[in-house]
Amino acid sequence: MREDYEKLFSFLSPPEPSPDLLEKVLGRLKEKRRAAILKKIFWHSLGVTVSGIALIVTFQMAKADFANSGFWQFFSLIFTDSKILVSYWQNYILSLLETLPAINLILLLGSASFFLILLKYWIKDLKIIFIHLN
Amino acid sequence: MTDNEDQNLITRYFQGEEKALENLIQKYLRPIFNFVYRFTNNTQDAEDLTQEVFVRVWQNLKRLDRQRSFKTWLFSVAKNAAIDFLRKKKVLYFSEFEDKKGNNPIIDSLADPSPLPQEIFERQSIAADLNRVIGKLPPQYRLILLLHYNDHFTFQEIAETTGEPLNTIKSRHRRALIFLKELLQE
Repeated sequence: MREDYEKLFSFLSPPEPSPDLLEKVLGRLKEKRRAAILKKIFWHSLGVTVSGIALIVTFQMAKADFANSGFWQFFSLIFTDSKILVSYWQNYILSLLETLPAINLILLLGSASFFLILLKYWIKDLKIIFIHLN
Repeated sequence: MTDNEDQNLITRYFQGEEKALENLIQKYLRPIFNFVYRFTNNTQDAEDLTQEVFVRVWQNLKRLDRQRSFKTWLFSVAKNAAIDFLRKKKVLYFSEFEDKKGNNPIIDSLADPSPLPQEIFERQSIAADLNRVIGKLPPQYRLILLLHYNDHFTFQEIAETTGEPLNTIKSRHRRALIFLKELLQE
């Protein structure tokens, strides 16, 4: 480093920033963070609503499918003819699986998972807004 | 040491310790304010720009390459914010003689600047003169001189901050010294 220029720059008198500059910076960050979280909350709320509606629809579909497939009739045999079922348990399980409305069940579990995951994020965002950014 | 300390603060922030980010900002608040002030020459604009720099830092902190020095990255963010500010204000002027690679054939042909005359240091108004001529320097020269002599960056750190080759920085530094000396002697 050139010593003469180093000496020269030691004369450079920097201005004083206002004493609340740190607070201003932190306040601006808080604002930005709040805006980002609000944006996230909007999208997560939308996701929760859509997946909630999907959950209700898939639940109704699965319920109707369960009723039509005869699954409950097979299933209720556990309580009425449990002794016979013990002897033919392999056939019973196969029949039970055949009547299970698999596609609707997968859709139901899928939409329930989406709903719960988005709900988790939504609650997390709300917590940040109310606890940390207030 | 500083780098480790910075990395430690960043890690703690990502682990959920909000105070760590506040400490990091507090540590660099003054150097960044002083740095951007040299581009704005106005306290209010410098404060706004300082806020903008730290917002950008917060927004991009997750993308920071942890192998890279936080300090040089922070100053590169500040440099970009300052250039954006000057562009908006339409006061950005680069040397008319400098080509795209940052070379200036006219000044490059000049010899290394001789030592500054003692008379300069004896002036009563040296601080004011320096402030004035710093403001007159083209931004790329101002940047190098401030980082090197004011913030004590090495040429390597300046190269990392600006994203330019080390040799470009060295030759630009030489030209900046010539320019500065000429302005001081005017």
